[in-house]
Amino acid sequence: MNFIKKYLIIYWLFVLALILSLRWHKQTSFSKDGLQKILLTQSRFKNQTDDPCQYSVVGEPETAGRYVKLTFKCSDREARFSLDYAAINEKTVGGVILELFRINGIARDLTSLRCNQGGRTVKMEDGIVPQDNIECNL
Amino acid sequence: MKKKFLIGLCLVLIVVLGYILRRNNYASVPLPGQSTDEYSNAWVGLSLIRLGVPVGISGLVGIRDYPTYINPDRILSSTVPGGALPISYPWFDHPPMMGIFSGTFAYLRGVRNFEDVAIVSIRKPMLVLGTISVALVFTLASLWFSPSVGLVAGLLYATSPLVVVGSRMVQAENALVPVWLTSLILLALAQKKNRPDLIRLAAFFAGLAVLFKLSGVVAIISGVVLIGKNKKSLAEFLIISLSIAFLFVIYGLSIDAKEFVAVFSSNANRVYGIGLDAVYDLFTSTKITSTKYLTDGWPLVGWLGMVFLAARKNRSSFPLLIATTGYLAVYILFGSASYGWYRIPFLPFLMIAVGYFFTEGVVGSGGLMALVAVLIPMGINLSKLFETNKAPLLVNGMRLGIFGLVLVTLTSLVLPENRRLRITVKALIWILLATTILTNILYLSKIDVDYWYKVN
Repeated sequence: MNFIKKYLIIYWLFVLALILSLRWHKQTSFSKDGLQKILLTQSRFKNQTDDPCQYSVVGEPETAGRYVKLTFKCSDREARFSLDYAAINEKTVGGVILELFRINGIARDLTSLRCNQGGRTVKMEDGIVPQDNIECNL
Repeated sequence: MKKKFLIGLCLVLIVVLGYILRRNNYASVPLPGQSTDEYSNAWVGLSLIRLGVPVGISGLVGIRDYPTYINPDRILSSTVPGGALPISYPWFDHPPMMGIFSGTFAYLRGVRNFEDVAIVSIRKPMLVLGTISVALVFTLASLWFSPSVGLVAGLLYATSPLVVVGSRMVQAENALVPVWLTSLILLALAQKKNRPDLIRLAAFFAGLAVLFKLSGVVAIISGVVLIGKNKKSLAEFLIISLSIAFLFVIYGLSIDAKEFVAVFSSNANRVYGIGLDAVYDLFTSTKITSTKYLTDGWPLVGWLGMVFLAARKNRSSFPLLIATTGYLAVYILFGSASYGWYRIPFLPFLMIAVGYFFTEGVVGSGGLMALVAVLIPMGINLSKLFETNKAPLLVNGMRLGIFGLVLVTLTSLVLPENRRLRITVKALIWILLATTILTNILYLSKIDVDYWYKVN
């Protein structure tokens, strides 16, 4: 048997093993929960802070009109954020704040915040819609 | 024996120098996040290992993405404007080998989620690949031309600022280069030692290059042209290399056939982003990322060397011309975006052309050309080194020195029978080349994170 014949037999056996192992691995390992965990778990190397004004999220979401604005009034300064509405899993005031806290590694209890929108006080469980503009005092 | 030992020693020193230069500031230059592909590549491998499905950043039109905030190295506070990353799964934008390579490294270092992936960790294997490439450039240039060409090419590949900074990035091209070079080395050895079995191994590496990036198809094209009319070897090379490359299709169809076909069609309809002036841009600009340029004169000297080689019609230069023009064709054909890393596969061949130019070509009118050519990178490096602190003495030295050198070189052209003058010109050009390589090293030592912010 010449080399190419031998090669092709081994090659197709390898391909078969590859197909079976890829399918088996996907079936046994993939889940939506696992995906969320790998995407959203905070890095263990990230420094935690309780100051929401310490880190920024630079720039604006690229899709026009698909944003939620969030402003924190800290003791000595103010921090403004513009987050992509589509990237927020829990569409509530608390949800958007927790998402920002996750992104920037902020360890702070939501009960320490007083938030309002357009002069009206809002609760953490209140829903949000695109282009909302929420302000929070510490 | 003594000569071999000396060449070996020089190679070791060049490789060590290449590694040291790559390692210096590797985690901060280029800045983490200047190309999010670096993270995405590792994420693809990590998710494939953990979830059995590749997950990464996709910019393809018509492919569903899930905007997600992932903030490794706090890139969202510094280099990534716009915030949410367009995450897609299963991710089939490119073949998986780069992802598997860097993702496996990250996984073995204990990384389990995307935000744990840190530049300081995932760039480490790239330093090794870049250093291996230095040795491969030396080997290939030695096989195609001579060990002295290999030493100059290797030294330039180890120290050129553009090559060094670009080779730190977790980009598929930085893995494609050593794999393609290995394939070319095996082909050169097969021809030199008349060992057709090495062609089979070369075919394996050519196919593997495609599994790193589709533009790796150049390894198959160049292999086919280099093998030429030997039908048996050609058939073996094609069957092996194409079957290995075809594993990408098998991989995609096994994980999600519908999505794989959709991504493939979207990739085929990508915007032609490099522009119609792509070739001019390639010769005149030296990009690192999509927006950052690091001015370096060596690639331009490489293109000049390539023209010099083509004009000489030397048979030993055919493989070099085939590899370079082959990648030029692939670069223009794919032409999706004007990213600096798409140009990385040109660099080994450009440095080999420079090596040949200075080693074999410094005779007659070639001496004058080499003199002018070496002044390109030297001038650029010196202008960067003395950017803020202008040195009037140096400027006057350059003006008078260049004037004197041109006069001496021209005289040697008029009096070709004067051996002493010829040797003087050659020695002067070699001294200039050595000085320019020294300025490479000095310029690289200046490129830290503060300097990088000023580079545009």
